[in-house]
Amino acid sequence: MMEITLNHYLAVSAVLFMIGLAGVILRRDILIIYMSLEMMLNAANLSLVAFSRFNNFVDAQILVFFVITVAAAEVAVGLALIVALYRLKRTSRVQDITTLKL
Amino acid sequence: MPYLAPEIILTALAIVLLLLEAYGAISARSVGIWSLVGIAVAIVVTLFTEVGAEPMYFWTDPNAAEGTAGKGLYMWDATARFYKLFFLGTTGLVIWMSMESAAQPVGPKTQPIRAEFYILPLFVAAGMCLLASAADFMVLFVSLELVTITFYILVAYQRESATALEAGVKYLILGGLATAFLVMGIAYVAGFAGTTSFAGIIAKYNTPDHLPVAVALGLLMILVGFGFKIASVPFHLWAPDVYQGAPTPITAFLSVGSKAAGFIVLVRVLNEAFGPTAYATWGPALTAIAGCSLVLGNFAAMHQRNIKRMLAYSGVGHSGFILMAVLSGGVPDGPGIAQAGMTAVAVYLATYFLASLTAFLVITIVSPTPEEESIRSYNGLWQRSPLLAAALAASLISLAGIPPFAGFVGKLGAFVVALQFHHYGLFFIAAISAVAGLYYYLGVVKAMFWSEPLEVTPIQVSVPTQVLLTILIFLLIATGLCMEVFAWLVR
Repeated sequence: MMEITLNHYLAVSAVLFMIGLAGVILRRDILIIYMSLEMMLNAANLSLVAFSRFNNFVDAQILVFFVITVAAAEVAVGLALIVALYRLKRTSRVQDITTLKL
Repeated sequence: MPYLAPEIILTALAIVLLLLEAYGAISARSVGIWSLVGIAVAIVVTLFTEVGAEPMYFWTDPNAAEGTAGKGLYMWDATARFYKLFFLGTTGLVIWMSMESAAQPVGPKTQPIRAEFYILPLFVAAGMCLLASAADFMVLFVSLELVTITFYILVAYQRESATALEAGVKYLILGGLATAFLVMGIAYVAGFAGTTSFAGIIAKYNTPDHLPVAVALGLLMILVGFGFKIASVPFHLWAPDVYQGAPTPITAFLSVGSKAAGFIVLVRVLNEAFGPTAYATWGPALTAIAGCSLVLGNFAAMHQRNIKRMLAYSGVGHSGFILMAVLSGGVPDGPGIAQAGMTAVAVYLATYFLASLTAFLVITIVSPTPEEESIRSYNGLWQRSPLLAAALAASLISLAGIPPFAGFVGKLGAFVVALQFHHYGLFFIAAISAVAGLYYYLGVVKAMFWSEPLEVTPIQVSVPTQVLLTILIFLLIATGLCMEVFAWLVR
């Protein structure tokens, strides 16, 4: 039986972060992009909690609580914006929102 | 606690005003006036809080490791005071601009300005003041997000208009991406160092060796987060669209306040959390970012037909100039950034503050609707309002860096630092970009004075704003003529 170490958690967190980043870059729907962003934040949270658990570093857990709170605030504002945009344009695809040019 | 006074005053005032407004006890205009009063009080308190020779630290950790004891979450020094005054001044002028634009006739798709448009900037100001004093990544993260999330709301304030919403969503997505990079970077740096405090991190990693790979990666990810705030290439993609779509006072706030907030945290982290040896990590990265920002910002600005977009690209270029001053690091046994670099950054930002806010104040008055933001609407502005034309000309010439205007002093400082620290390639690029900048800045000035106006109706300016504009023009010239003012300011 393999022992799970800090590096395993960091690897999972890095993979989550990269999946999230790929989602932000490749997907074409604002809601999915926004979900991918939340995944990137949670990847960071996972790293912090792992550091906290393995290095006996309690401050990291406090930071995680702040990140969760801030992410919640960001979602509240962000979803409101996306809903307002949907009401106005009846779309949530990025290729349809290109009014701003030159 | 006089050291935390600006943040406490601003937050308390904002909450009280929100409650009063929610119960309908107060009109939007008086909320604006109260906000200005609150900012004035905060400025006075900050001015009269004394600064010691050594930085002071608050909320210290009694269990901190040897050598880092006595360094806590919040610090107070001359730099913190300078940037707090800077942010308070910016917020004050932005609220003034908002009141000015509230007095303008409302377009078909624009809503009249409600009270929270004056209250939310107070929260932004509180966040920025906290940033100027952050001595710990936790404080840094929370205050940076207070600023960013409030800006999401302010940018998309005109939510009946498609362009404003589009700008808001773009800012939201790219801002969220920057936040994710910042948090991940903090996780690596703090996780491997075993502490979130700047003093603890520098105590652990200020050795002659290079940074461990994971910590260096963390530092670079943190720089991505800051690069977004200061709108530097390649993290500038949001700037033109958001500057164009946001209400003009908020554009001014983003271009001056948000940029300066990015720079204060950047120099704080490089100075307080990482020592001179970290320069091997961030030096090359920032050199590349600065070079790209200078070239792309200044050359892309030439082709713009919308004045706010033009100023967005020129702002990207200005970030490049300021980064040139930041790059004065790597001196053995020194702090992360040399004192000369810190001074040059502060002076550049001070001149940028004067010039940029003057320009946006004029734009607020001349272009109340998005249709009037094209540079062609500025043709013959001299005949419609000599004062507005003179103010815009002074600010644009200052941004271009022509003596005797203030901007020249800022540019001079950045160039001197680049030479002093042997960034000859960057110096060369910056010199070419500065010349390219002359083209588009002077193009607008030429249009204002030597083109026939599209319409000849004179523009009315209220008396207080006339006085403010005159003071700003005076300051733009006076500070350019006697540079000692800046030496006194940053002391």
